[in-house]
Amino acid sequence: MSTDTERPFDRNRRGFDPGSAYRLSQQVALREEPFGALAYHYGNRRLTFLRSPSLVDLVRGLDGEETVEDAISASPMGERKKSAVCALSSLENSEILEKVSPLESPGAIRAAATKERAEDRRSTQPPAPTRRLTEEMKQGLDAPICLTWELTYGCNLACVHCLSSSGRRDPRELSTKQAMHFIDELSSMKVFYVNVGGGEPTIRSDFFDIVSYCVGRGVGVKFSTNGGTMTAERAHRLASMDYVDVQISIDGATPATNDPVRGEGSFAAARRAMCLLSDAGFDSLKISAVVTRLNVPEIDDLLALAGQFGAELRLTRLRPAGRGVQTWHELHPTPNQQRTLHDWLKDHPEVLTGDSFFHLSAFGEALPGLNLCGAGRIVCLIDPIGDVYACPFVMHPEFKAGSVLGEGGFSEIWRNSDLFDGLRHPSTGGACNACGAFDSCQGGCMAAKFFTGLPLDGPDPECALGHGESALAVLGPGRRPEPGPGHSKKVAATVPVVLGRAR
Amino acid sequence: MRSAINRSAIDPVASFEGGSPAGADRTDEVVDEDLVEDELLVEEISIDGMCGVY
Repeated sequence: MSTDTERPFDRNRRGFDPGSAYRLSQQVALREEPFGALAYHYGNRRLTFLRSPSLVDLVRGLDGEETVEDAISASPMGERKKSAVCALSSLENSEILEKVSPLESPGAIRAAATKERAEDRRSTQPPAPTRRLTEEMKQGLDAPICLTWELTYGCNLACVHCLSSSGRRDPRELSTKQAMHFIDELSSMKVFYVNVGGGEPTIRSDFFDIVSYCVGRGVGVKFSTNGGTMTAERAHRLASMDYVDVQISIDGATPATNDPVRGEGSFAAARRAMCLLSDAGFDSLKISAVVTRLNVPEIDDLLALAGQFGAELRLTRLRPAGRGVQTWHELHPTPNQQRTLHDWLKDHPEVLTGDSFFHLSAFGEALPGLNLCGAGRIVCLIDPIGDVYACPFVMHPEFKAGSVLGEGGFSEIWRNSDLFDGLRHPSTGGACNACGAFDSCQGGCMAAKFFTGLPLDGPDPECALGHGESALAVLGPGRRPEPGPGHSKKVAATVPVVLGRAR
Repeated sequence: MRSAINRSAIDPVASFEGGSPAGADRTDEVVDEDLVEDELLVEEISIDGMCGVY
């Protein structure tokens, strides 16, 4: 086995200087996990995995030393200096670490204490784990990376694919006080950010109070809006806030494509909101589009539309949940379109998908991301009344794990729910286990299978190899679960959802 | 502009490219193999876009 060479502390080509002092960036949250730690940078939105408790100890110890060299020598990685320098160099390159100017150098004030802590850990730390990262993720994290929080079922629109069948507010919605208590819990668990949606979240009168409270407690916010409530005053207020991303929902590059899905006038409202945000100097804007059979031909135009506003394009997969149970069969992309989408995404890595299309990896080349189902493992959903579901696409009693208002709160559910434990330790891979593409697609999306009536250990209904279509074709009657009564407005509830109907 | 959403394992070996003085290559190769065996200590994945909201 080799040892460190005589050059363990060389300056590398990216400019990392082990002879200087570094520290954890003030824009980074570091959360320890069994395999090491997760570091989330609120500025560049990157998530970095530190895959060794010893490395985490070293990073924490940087702040007490005059140089990186000193920190390494005092750390459990002192005998693996080159590995340590390389890892720290990578962290500096990811902006997880920042260089401390000589005037700020902390000196050796805390060095003794740091060395003592490191000595303690050196004698007790097990070797760094070597499992693949996805295997770590499958067994669940100590807290979600992020979670989806639907603030209200109230909505000014009635999109035909709405996951939560939103429309009417539920009188049991979490109060402002309850919401803030929940945020306190997320903060203590070091959940990096919440994805706020609904319904239309901005119709809550305490919307900005909740967002501000999140940010103040170190929980970033990404919220989705149809833009209907945006004003110049609200746009300026958002532009003045840190750690808040806004996603404007648009499902087509033109009103002709968007409005049949989201409602008459919704494209114009969304575009107006983007103009207001752009004029206000808001710089964390995204267009969020659900990929449908209608808009795949416009995908380049959607990207161009985002570019007009300096926004990023985020694409997400259509699920057969909520009102989407009724419309999925006519809206979901055709097999040829799925192939087109896969290839297009490979050519456009700047487009955000957040792992939404991992089932398409079976086409041969994996898409960027973790490529796994994160339900109950790294993400979950909180509905407007505080109920916790495994993921945003399975709002169904079968996937409800509890309530944040229950004894023990959210952390108890996340850590000890039988449902989540089962998702983290599935007993079988089922029929897909024998498929050569299983390692690529992981069997696809649990929600898509559930709401189309397919077995959870069977193929995804949009399986790239066509197994899902075959399974759907022989599916017996009555296999599809009822989506529940939903929260559609009473007028809409008496009128069948018909694609193309102006709302 | 933010980085692309590539899952980019940051290879500590790669980060040392160009740092080898003449004559040290063979030693470095051995050390680098050691690092690979160590697994990548730092791995970066962009989760921007992970959301679950339409």
